[in-house]
Amino acid sequence: MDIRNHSLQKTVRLHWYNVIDPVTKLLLALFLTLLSFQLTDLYFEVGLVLISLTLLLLSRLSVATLHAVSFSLFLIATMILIQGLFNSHNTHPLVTILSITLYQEGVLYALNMGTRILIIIFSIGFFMNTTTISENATYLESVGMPYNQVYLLMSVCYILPQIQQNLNKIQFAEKARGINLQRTLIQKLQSLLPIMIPLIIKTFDQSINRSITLQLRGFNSPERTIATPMYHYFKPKFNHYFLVFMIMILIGVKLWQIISNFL
Amino acid sequence: MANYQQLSLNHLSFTYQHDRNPVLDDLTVSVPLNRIIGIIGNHHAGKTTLCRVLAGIVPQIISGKLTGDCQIGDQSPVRDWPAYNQQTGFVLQDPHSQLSGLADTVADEIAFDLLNHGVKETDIQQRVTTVAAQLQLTAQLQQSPDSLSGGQLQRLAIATAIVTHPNVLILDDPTSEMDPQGRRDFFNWLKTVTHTTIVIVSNEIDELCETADELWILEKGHLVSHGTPLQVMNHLNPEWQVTTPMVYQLARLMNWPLAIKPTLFPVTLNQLRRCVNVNHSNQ
Repeated sequence: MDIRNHSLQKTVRLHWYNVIDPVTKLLLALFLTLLSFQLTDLYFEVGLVLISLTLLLLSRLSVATLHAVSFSLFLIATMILIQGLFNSHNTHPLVTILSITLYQEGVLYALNMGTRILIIIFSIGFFMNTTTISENATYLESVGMPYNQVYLLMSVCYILPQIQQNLNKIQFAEKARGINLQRTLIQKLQSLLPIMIPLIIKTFDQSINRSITLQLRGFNSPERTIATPMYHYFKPKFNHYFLVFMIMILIGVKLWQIISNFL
Repeated sequence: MANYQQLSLNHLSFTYQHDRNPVLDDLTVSVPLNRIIGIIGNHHAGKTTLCRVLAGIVPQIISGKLTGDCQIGDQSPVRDWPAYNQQTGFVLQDPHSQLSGLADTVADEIAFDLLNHGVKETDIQQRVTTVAAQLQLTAQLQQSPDSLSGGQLQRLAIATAIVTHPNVLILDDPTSEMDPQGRRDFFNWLKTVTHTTIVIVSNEIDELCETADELWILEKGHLVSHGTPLQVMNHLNPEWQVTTPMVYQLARLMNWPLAIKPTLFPVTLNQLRRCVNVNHSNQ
């Protein structure tokens, strides 16, 4: 029985996104985000939303992503309302409901911002849902990043999920004792406030313990065998160069636009 | 002249940084290598700190004032930590903290230590399989470490510590989340380990007396008693509030002392069996 080498491929069916390396996914997310900030036409923005949404739907949809999307849709709706009513450039009425008028300029501005938020969430969601922390760590190490730097990077990625995990445990315990019913948003916020400081302290404490363990387990040993990547990725170097080139172009265009304003 | 065939503490004291009172106070003891040493004591006795000193965590990673000497064989966790650490396995009190967090499966988690030690990929597979079988984790090898129960997680923590074949194994309450059967299996496995000095902190006094060659009792940072389980349990001071094994309590109740030393009562099942046989033959 092959228990370790490429164990994931043996037990789980390979998906199309498994042949894209983590750095390419991250660069793709960055590229789509920068492109959305570069574009001003709403149709192009909607096109980008559809592209990033397709990426997300063709990968694995997690509950966390659905929560993030629903929260951002709520934010976008609020933005449309506020901008449609109070944007300083509002001149052309779009729609009037019960004597309240929403203006075109404000609504378009909010929609533009909203599409950017969605593009960021969809593309980052695609990266998060299709890449595990260990896949990231293994890949970064295999491309030559020193392991202690890899670990530092991964520890930062770990802090938020760990806080979430600890929070769930505390809230579950509170609910089991019937002291945290959380029926409304206000109740949820009220229940969160008293446990914030112990929660953060506990998470940092766990991080310190983990760092002690890793030193004991010899993670920074000079003898360390460099881990082999989990999957055979499709043309990773070409993808990196291509996406970095495109990102540089987008940054260059943006810089030129800023500079040309002063000329 | 130093004896390189023993674990020795020589006037060892330790105070954590920003603390006034020492957590360990003037500990002096020596035990031959490759023995099982059980450490018992109440809360804040200094058991975990002693494990940390023996593992070299203090003062290498957690700072504080360490005086005296600690020597295990020809190495010292204080002076030669990198080399010493390569030969030491440590199991933390909280098994969740033992995990690297960088492994998707139990197999990868166990292999993490071997990769760090530069073991070849071909050997890793065989060693992971062996250790998993020893600790009854074979069925869980492809599972995520996050999906394990508390007891399984503790077994995984132990597996990560022993997979590198350490000369010194330090176990800080390794069975606290195990069920009774898991605990029994663990202590039975512990008896089979050879060529390793094992230091184990545990509240399982019955199993500890059955398994350990030597018991140390810590009381508020002081080493108040040490010796074989038989000696230690028969010379307890009530002020230490240390629980005695069931075998000892039963023997005292029934007045079944050891035949060879009538002032002492048995602390293991084998000793009790002999006492019962002697008592029966006398009747």
